[in-house]
Amino acid sequence: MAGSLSWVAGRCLWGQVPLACRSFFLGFPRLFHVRVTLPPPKVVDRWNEKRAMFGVYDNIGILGNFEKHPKELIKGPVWLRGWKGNELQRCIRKKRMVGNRMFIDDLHNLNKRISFLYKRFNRHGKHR
Amino acid sequence: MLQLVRAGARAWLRPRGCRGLNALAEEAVQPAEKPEPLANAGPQAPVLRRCELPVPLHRRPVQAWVESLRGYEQERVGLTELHPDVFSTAPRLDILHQVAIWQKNFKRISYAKTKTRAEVRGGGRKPWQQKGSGRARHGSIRSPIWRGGGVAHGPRGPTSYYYMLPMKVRVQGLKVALTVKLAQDDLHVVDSLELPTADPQYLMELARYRHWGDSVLFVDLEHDDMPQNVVAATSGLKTFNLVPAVGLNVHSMLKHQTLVLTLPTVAFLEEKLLWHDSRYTPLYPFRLPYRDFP
Repeated sequence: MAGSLSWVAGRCLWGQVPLACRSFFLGFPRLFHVRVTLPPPKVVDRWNEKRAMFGVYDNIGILGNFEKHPKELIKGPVWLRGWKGNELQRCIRKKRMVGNRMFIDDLHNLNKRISFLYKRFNRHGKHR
Repeated sequence: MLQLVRAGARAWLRPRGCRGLNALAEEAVQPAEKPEPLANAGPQAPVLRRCELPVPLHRRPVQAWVESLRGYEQERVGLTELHPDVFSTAPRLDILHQVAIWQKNFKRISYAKTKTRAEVRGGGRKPWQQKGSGRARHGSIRSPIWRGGGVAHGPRGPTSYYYMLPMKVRVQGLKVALTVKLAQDDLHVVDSLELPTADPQYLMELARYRHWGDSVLFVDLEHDDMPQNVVAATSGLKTFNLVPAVGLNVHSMLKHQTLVLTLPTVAFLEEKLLWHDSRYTPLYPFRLPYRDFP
């Protein structure tokens, strides 16, 4: 990508400059713009609803008679709630839990990824 | 008469902790005889609370003033004893750090995902023949060294960072946080969260008068029994937040400068947190019924 851009820049910049000056480098290439002023500071509200109430109900098990576990509070994909695994484990779990309702292309990519990772983890490298 | 008044004044002005509750109860009669310029009918009896749960023999309960939110100057409405194993345990900052980082990370699910060379559209055909064209040899136009190709070792799919600390570590984190708040004078015990008005300004002025700080966390016992005035006042303010006792956690206690607990909340927390000191290890999860545990 960089090579093709400098090729375009060379054509534009050096088209009008006479032959005798072409050995100079005219300072910083005008196409790679960097800013010389600071951007306006990002205004972050440290006390909005989400940040002020972060972490509430994380101890619902200990303080609430163990009726709920904190992992039930996690919002996310079904195959990842209250569970952690490496990439192969995540792919296998996703296929088991959600594979029957995935798009065909996505399922095909998932199967390819599972077979690639299985071969990589079990046949290559130091830990197999 | 003057000696009684002087003794009563001395009793109120002495620093907390050096007189027991019994002595305070005896002298509680004497301040009642002082002329009080109050609009309502006379001074109330002080609110006194002892520890219900057994205290270890080598330690004594730590004491705190009971305040009231009904008036600006109603600090020191009573005195409460706090269990030392909950409110005066060792200040384990490493456990606080562990629990705070756990709270931050265990819910995290990162949705960053990049396409590999197999998932990028196209790139099945060999772009030019292996030998003879003069160019470098390539097998597909979507390999990671090509522009527009897949990413070799990028983030893959939604990743979860879930893990659980042992239950006793999380419990100890709560105890250490309460200890630290009390030791740094940021913990206030209140008889109840009743306010005279639902005006958020009243709460802000009260906190400023009593030097509570910029942010206050109010903790009541049940979600349904919270007085309407507190709910209305805290919903109008960003840094004054109200949570039920079940929602208490280390991150919120560290984020807010001051912590305000009610007396029933203190009893609830002591009971819940001290149970873990003398329980058996669970043979099956605690959410399943046990014979002797509700």
